[in-house]
Amino acid sequence: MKLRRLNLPWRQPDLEAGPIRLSSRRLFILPTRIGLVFAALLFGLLMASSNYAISLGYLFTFLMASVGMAGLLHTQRNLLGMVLRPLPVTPVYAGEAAHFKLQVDNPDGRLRGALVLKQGPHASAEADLPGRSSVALEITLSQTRRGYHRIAPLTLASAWPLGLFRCWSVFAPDWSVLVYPRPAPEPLPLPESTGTGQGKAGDRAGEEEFYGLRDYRPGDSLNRIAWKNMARGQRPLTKQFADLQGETRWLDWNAAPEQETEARLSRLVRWALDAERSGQAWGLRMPGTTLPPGRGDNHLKQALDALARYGEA
Amino acid sequence: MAKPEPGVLWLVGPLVLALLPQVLFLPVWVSVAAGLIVLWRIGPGWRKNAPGQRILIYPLLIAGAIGVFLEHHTVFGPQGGVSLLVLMSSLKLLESEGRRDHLVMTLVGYFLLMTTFIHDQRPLTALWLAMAATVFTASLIATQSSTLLPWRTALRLGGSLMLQALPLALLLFVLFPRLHSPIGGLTQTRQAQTGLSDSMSPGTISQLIRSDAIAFRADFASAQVDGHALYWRGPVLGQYDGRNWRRLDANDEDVTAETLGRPLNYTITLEADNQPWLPVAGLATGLSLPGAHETADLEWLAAAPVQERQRYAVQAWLDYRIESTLSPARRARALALPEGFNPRAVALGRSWASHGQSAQAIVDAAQAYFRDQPFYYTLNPPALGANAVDEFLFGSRRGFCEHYAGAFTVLMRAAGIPARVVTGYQGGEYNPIGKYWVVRQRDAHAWAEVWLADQGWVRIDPTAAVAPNRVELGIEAGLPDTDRTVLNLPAAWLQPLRLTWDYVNNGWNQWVLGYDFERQQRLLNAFSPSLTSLRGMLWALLAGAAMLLGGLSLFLLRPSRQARMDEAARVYARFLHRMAKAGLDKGQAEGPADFARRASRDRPDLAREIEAITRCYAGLRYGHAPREWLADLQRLTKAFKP
Repeated sequence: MKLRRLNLPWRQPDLEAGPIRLSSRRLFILPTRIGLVFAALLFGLLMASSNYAISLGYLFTFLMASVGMAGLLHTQRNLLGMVLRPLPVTPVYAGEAAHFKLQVDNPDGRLRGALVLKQGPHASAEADLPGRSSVALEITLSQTRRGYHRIAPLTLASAWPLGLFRCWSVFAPDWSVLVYPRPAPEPLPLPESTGTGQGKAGDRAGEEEFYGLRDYRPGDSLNRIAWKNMARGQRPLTKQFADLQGETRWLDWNAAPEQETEARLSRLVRWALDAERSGQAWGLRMPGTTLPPGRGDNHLKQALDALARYGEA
Repeated sequence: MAKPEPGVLWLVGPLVLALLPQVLFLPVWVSVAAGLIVLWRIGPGWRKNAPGQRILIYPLLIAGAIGVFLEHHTVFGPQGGVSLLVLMSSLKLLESEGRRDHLVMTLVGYFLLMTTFIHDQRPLTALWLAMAATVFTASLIATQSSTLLPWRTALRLGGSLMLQALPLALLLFVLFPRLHSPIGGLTQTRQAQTGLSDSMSPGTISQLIRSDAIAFRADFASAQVDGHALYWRGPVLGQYDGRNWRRLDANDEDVTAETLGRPLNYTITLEADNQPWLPVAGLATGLSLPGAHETADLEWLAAAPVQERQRYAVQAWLDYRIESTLSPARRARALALPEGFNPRAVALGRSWASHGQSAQAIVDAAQAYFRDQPFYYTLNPPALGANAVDEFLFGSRRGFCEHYAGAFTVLMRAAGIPARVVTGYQGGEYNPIGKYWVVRQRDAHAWAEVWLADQGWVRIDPTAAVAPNRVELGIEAGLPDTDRTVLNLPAAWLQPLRLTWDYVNNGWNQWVLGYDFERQQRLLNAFSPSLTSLRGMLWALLAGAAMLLGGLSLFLLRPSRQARMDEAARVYARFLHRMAKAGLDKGQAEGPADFARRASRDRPDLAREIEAITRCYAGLRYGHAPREWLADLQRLTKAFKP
């Protein structure tokens, strides 16, 4: 048999993708503070039994001690065999809190009690998990920096059923949140459309112009499916047209009045949100990335994504 | 009254269960106060976090502590401390809310349960407390959950936890090294109980025999012994003041004792009666009890009044001769009669002596007197005046054993024969289930001893002359029908039940309550002499605990069905991989059974293995195969080399 790497509480856990099954080798257990008080009480009971020569006192003390030991095994059993699945995290703006939801599956028929997900000082609400069911434990972590952040190792813990021992498992899921830059707080007018670049505003007023393809989504008009591409064996794509009746706005890196990079990114985010609200098609131009003009949630997401990841290696 | 929320019931319920048996031992006001506080907590008047309520707790606590101090003169120890603990724990209820409070309350509850054992260790109490401990554990489980569990689930979990803990607890109980004697030698807590006393006046024993309480149990090494015929000797009363018989004060001369015939071996388990007497039948050479000693009157005394159940082994001779020469001082004391009392009895005794008869003839004449005159054996004799013996012998002639023994001794002393009264027990009940004799307070008896030259002290039971059934068949048969009601005798149909219950009680006393250093040594020695050393005990303890906990963890932490299915799928994938290397690929849409059939057709040499592996896998994955099949599947797949 191959020797597997030992899990030790002080060792950083390996990064894991996909569902995590809690096996006994990754569970740790120690008495709680009240568990230590319980041990002291048992010692006191033992002393009293021998002091007063109470034979039943011995039996009672030993019974309670054994209940504690059985409780230890039950506490370990409480976490054993559970499957943890990190759920996708909705992106947030810097300064907001991201909600990490961990789906905990209980594959067995028995009740799992008082589970709590923790990371540092942050903890989820406690949850009981009846047999063969799932629960999502949510941990809320405020995000200060933009970018794509992987969550630090997490702890799933429980002291159930007796509260005398606490069992926990540390795990590092491949679980990240995309944090958009914080939108600049003060509104500035959107940059004027300059007409430079690819925009051909006013050429064919009143018509829509094809400007790109995106993944097909159920509900898209059949007329707009790129059948030619499909015939070439590609996945279904939908043609996108921009209403170029008005002007196409370009949100340009250089147009932002701020000089500092993060401030500039914040400005562009603010502009992107404002532009999207205005109903006009808009494009984004920044060092390394140019997003052709467009509209819609997907377009906005692409822009925010690019802004969030600006400067990433 | 508003319905209290279930969390409160989990808090209050177990505590009430723990306090109920305490009520028997607590001062009444403590019980009442605790009860009122509990009612307050579950009643509509209680408010969460109400500041007024919080402020009230401390004055109440101080008042309670003062009350306890006035009652017990201490706030510590098994009485004062427990009273205070009861008050404190019920007051704590008023401010208990969260899970932490609940945990603390549970620990206090466990402690309260334990304190009950100081007073009462009977089997039913133990059963009750075990139940209370289970409810405490269940309440802990219910409230440790994030949502309050249904009581049924919590009780089931708590109960199974207790049951799983029981084997380890029993192992610890048997193997945990016991101490020779209590370390602290702290206060005794038992209340005075009835028993033989060091003086006897008319009515002493007839009061005693109304008690159903067990005096002691005797276990004979040989089954043929008739425990009924034995006289269990208690205090010997040699001093008479006209009304009361008392023990002699100075009683430490050396007297000769000579054993005759064969010895008898038995073990006595004496109930605590707060008296120093150790009942013994026959002449014993020594008692296996530290501090036990014998007086010149052949009484056995413990070092101190018996406050706890004691067990001692005796080797005794039923035939013996003691004090064949009587010293003049002892002779004088055994003849002394108070001046001016019972003139007629003294005259009767003297008249027997004046006829010049032998001592033996005088003894016979006295017994004949009791037999021939219309004496009547009864528990309800009339009240007697100053000359009690005269009134009894020549007037009422109704009396109980103390009347006969006392009157007979007076007659003998008047006739010049040294005599004394002996109190003790006679009779008893055989328990055929446990094969031991039970002697109760109701079997208390008084008889006489006379000193005859060359024979020493000889037992004479004048009651036998009046009511031979008392001596031969026991107190129940000896008494007239009308008197039997006061004896508190059980109905006949209850007899088997009563004997069984006594057997249970005796076993409990011997093996649970009486499990001390000596008994532990004897039990462990029966298994292996190496276990009797401290080192042997600790090693056995460790090994046994490891085995029990290992077994429990194997049972509790065994892989679930889901885990087995996953493991089976993993092993089967390995099998498929080996098959693929051998050129047999399972199609995407092909089921394991179909694949096995096709593969077996292509490779008939592997057909048996393929079939076995597939059956294991299918059973684990789709059927309800027992867990052993997983090991089979692993073994088969490992050995599978196409």
